[in-house]
Amino acid sequence: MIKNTNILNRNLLAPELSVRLDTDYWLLWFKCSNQYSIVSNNLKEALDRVLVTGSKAQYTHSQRVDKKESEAEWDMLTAYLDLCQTPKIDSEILSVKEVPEYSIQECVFLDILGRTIVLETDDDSTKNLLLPALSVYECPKQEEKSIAVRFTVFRKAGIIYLLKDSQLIRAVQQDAYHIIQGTFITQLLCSIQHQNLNSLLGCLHASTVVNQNTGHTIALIGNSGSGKSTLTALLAKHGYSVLADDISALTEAYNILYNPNGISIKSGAYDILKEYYPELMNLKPYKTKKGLISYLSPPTSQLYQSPCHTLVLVNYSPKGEECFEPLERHEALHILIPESWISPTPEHAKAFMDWCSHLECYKLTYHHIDTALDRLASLHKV
Amino acid sequence: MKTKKSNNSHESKQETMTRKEALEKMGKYGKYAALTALGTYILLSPKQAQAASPEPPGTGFFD
Repeated sequence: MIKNTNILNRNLLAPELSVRLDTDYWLLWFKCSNQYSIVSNNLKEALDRVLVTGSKAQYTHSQRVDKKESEAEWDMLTAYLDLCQTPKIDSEILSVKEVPEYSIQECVFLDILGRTIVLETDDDSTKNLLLPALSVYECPKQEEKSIAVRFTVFRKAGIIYLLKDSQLIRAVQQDAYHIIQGTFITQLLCSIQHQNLNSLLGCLHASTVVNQNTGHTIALIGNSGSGKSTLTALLAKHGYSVLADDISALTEAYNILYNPNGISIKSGAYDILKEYYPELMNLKPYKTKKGLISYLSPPTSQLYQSPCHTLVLVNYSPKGEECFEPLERHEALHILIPESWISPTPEHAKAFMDWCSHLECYKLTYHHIDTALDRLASLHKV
Repeated sequence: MKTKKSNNSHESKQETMTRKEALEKMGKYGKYAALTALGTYILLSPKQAQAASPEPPGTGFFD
């Protein structure tokens, strides 16, 4: 990006936004790339010195250390800023202008929050990408005039296309089917709640629950397989409403929107959950390459959005020691940001960073549901 | 003239190597790393589109 590495163009390299996260860490945002960086206080100060001095000569002159060491620092710091400003190209998302010819094999009607949604698919494989998590909402065919929104998904020459009311929304390589799943459910949840998708701050990789007594809303984060969905299903039977499983859409008002997808349960969690969900063994399981997955319907709730300022990093550990402890924000964001979509507009990035800087974060390692319930209930007791 | 050109080329190459090395050192940003003694950093790239957990699709999808 920069040609002459001895003099830098501050406008090209400086982070657009920065906010203090914890005592020792800052969160920076780079507009050109929509990338974030967490840096320690001393590194933030060093980056500031680079940006203020503006040239290698002045930087080395301002330092008290050895000149060669100082020059090496300059090289490292400017290279880092350059890296931060360099957009990461996602080759799975395709820039397709024209929709190829396609044929529809099946048309499914869904009734979600009183809105009629149509899902058209070209074969069973594309249908099974999207429908299982929503099958509880299937309804008989409705009149054309009652249809709120129509989604079409088909695959051609190794590319999956997603259309909304005949307009192309997304095209991806078939390996990136999870992007079609995420885009579809985000479009759908916005449609059923009359929310403009462009007003979302982001879609967090998190499951979100609300304590029915206190109203306290908690976003459960963690890597895939950490037990977010299992804990979500358990909490749903112990006084919590489920707002979202896996994808939590965050609005400008810092609310998480209701996501109508069922809770995805891997067969490995059946033993833990069957006591609370006897119907689990009778649900239709979907075969995947890693085993069976079933979808639980979250209990009906009148709650369609709730403000969320608490993250809990979940770790199900069948043998390990149980613990619940505060987590520094930078550690929670380290997990959350790379797994989430965050709106790239400066206004949204600023709002997102403000949200980040006020989050309460905790880490929960558990294997008994009672432990998890006790610890979570201790948050914001009425 | 020829010598001068060679020197410039050498300087340029040295600078490029320094820069390349710096980038290589930073390329593995899966976890916190230290920039010499200057402090720690991590670069975080959000997803470029809304995405679900990449649960493997049903058997038959890639057949």
